[in-house]
Amino acid sequence: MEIEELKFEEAFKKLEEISKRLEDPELSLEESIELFKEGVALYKYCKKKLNEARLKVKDVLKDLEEVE
Amino acid sequence: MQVETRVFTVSELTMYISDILESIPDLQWVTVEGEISNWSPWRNRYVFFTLKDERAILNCVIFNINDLNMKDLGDGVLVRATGRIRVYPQKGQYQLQCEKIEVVSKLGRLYKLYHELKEKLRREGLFEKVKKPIPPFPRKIAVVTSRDGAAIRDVINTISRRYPLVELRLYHTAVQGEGAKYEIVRALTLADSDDVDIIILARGGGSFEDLWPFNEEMVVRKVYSLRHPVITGVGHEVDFTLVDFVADLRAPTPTGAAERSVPDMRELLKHLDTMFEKAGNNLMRKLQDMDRRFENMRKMLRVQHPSKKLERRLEDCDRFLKMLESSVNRKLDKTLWDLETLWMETLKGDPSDRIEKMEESLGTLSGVLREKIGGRIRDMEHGMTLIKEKLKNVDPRGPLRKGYVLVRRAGKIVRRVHVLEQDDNIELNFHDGVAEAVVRKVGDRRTEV
Repeated sequence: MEIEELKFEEAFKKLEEISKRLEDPELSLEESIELFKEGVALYKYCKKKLNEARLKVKDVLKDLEEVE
Repeated sequence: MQVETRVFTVSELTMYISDILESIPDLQWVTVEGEISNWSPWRNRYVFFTLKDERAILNCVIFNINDLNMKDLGDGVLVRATGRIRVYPQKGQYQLQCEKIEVVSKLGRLYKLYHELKEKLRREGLFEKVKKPIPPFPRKIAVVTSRDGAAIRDVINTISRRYPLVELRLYHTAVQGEGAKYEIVRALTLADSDDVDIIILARGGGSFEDLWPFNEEMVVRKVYSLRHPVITGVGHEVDFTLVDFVADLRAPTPTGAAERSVPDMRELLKHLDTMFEKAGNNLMRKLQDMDRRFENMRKMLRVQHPSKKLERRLEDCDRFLKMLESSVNRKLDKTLWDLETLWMETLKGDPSDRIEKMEESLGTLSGVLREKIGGRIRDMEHGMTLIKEKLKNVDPRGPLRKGYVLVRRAGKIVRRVHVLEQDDNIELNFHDGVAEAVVRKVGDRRTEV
């Protein structure tokens, strides 16, 4: 799955998982490097998401009233 | 006909009313019973408040606060206040200037209602509701509050700062006054039917009466029955409205409710940094470990590589050769030295002696040589004779000389009698010639011809 399609919290959870798995001493170097690469991408993505986010506010009943 | 009408200025009219009120003796020392609300002490000098019952309110002020026992007074307390009615021109209000206040009941009517309802709902078990968990990463949050109040601004600011990834959906409602309870219930119902993760029910600080809608039974029951997790943030820290008891999470203020509804982005980023640093360190350690192992392996390989073995052998050979060389050199040196010594000794004597000595040693030398070489030649001659003898033994013609005959048929040597048939033409090979013959009869040893 492409990282860009992930929701923030999904990316965040995945990153947490990766960070846990990287602590496993049995993990091979190749796997570690692959995971780390994935982690870097997720980390950047999470940061970007947080930094770029702007709160959306919708006055639901105002819209309803205008329709009425 | 035009009626003469007197025109007042605002001040004149106000003073006129003031004069009338102050001229009524009953209003100069009057006692009023009512419930205190909007109790607002001002710099420890005055207190403004209102007295009210079901249908009316009366503005009041206390100037001589030192003469009164103030600690029992406050919102919701039913009192009898005594003083005089005065007009306050700047506000166009009349007010009771209190000289004496007597507490009738500390629990005002609303407080009474509050406690009665609270007790009723507690007995019903509404407060033991299983709290729904607040999702840690909400995407949509419904805020039920007034679009014009301070509460919505606090919520927007707080969530903007902490976690701007969410969508806020404001469900506007009146938050005080008659009818507010119906609006709140309607807004909550609409919000609950939306696909939100959390509902925040909020209202800024206010008097007990201002917050009253949040103690209304229908509002409390609505909050209790919501499908979605609900966080309440009504009034200030000290205020406890009944909705707080049935909420999944109670926050002291609207800001508090907003804080509890979302994670803090800065903490998340810090957490991310920590996790990442840890992951990086882990990987580094792993790489270093690999590097160490690789280095060890390389060392081992270097020691055990076949070329290394060969090199070691060559070194051994070299060492051996050098040893050999040096021992040979030593021997050569010694021989040369000996020869030189001999030569020098030889030179010392008489020339004729010298020649004699040389001839003598030459003679000895040639004698030795002749002897050795002669022996060698004899050895070789002997060897040759032996070889000749051996060769003689393997010569096929040897047996023929002794009288044996070699039989051939059609050029091929015949080794067994039974391959022959009667009338076969055969060749008899002697050592000095060939005879042709015909087989008359074939038989084995027992039927010898």
